[in-house]
Amino acid sequence: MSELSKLLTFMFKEDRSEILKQYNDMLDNAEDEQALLESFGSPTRLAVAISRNYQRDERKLSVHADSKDGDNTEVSKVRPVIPTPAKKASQPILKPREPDENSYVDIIEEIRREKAAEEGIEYKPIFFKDEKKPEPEPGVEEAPVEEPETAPEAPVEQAQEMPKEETDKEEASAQETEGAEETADEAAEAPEESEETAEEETPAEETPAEEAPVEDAPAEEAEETDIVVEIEELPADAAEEEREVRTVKKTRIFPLILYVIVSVPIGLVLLLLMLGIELSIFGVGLLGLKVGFELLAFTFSGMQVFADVLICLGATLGVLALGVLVTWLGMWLIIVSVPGLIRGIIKLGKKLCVKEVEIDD
Amino acid sequence: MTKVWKIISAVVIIALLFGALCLLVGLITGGSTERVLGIFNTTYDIEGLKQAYEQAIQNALNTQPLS
Repeated sequence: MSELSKLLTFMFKEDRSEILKQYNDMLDNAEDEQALLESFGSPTRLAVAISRNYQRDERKLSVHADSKDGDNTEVSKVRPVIPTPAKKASQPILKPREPDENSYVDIIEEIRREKAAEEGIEYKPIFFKDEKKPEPEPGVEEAPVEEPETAPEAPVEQAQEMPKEETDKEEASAQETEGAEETADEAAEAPEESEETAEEETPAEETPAEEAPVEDAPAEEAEETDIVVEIEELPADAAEEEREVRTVKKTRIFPLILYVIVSVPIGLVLLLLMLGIELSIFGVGLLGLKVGFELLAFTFSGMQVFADVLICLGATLGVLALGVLVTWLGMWLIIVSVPGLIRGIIKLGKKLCVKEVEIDD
Repeated sequence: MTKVWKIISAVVIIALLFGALCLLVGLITGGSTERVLGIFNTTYDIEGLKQAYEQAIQNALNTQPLS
């Protein structure tokens, strides 16, 4: 155990202590401790198996949420993993769904689920996103613990199969009520599967009769499941509404032809007018630049007094600056206005000739 | 496009400021605008060009078809 604790440094402190405690409890409760230790294998192999099943990201969120709540009475969230001794040589560290591993895991999971139900504490699975099925096997050493639970296990198994997607949604939305919702979902959804009813309230009423020993606490929370399930139905309704509101653009042919006949000549006239003005501005700018360069030549060749040269240079710089500005203005107007005019004509045409028609699915 | 406008505006402003500075310094140091204009007129014959343009405009107006 000390070696295992050194190897489990990748886990959160709470999880590490919890899983070590679980393994110690297993060893204490086992009839043949030596056989159980042999089934664990080496501490390194066990640590690798645990690391493969440990979902650090989910644990990070839940630990962060728990720390915010200040909830000290945390339910054990980690699940001990035991590599199968028979498959050590051939296969890599165990997969979570192997039957041999499930026997130990399910036993411990059931114990912790019962404990959580008795204490009314939320239970959050860590290694697996969806609830595992507790498969009762006679070969398990801890069979006496299982026997009173076999009756309610079957419907619980069925319940765990269904809400994979729903539990995923709930975990993403509200981690605080996650454990309560899952245990309540088991109560609500087990008879749904068996009876195949779409009603939400009747499952909540029926489950306490079937699963009374296991789910006394969640019976009170059945109303919450109703609310939760109702909320889950809303997105489907919204999606249906969106489908109904879908529109398709339809072009009206006759107005389009009329618009084209009218807009093309008017557009051409406007374009020529605009281009004329802009090219004239551009021409004035170029003329100003030419005059500026002529003045510059005159400044340094025509005069003898330096003060006069400075006066002439000042005037030349002013003319050149204005010439550059006007030239760029003309160029910019040509670049911006021509595509803008064309775009405006097209946009007006779409507004007048294209109509949106709603389609009912 | 905004960047080009910024560059051109900066160049124009700097040129205008420098030109104004040169003009001021020239006037302060004894320069004369009349002397400059006189040299300019003799170099480019502005008066002659002006008279030529006025003559051309008058000719254009006089050659209108008689009703």
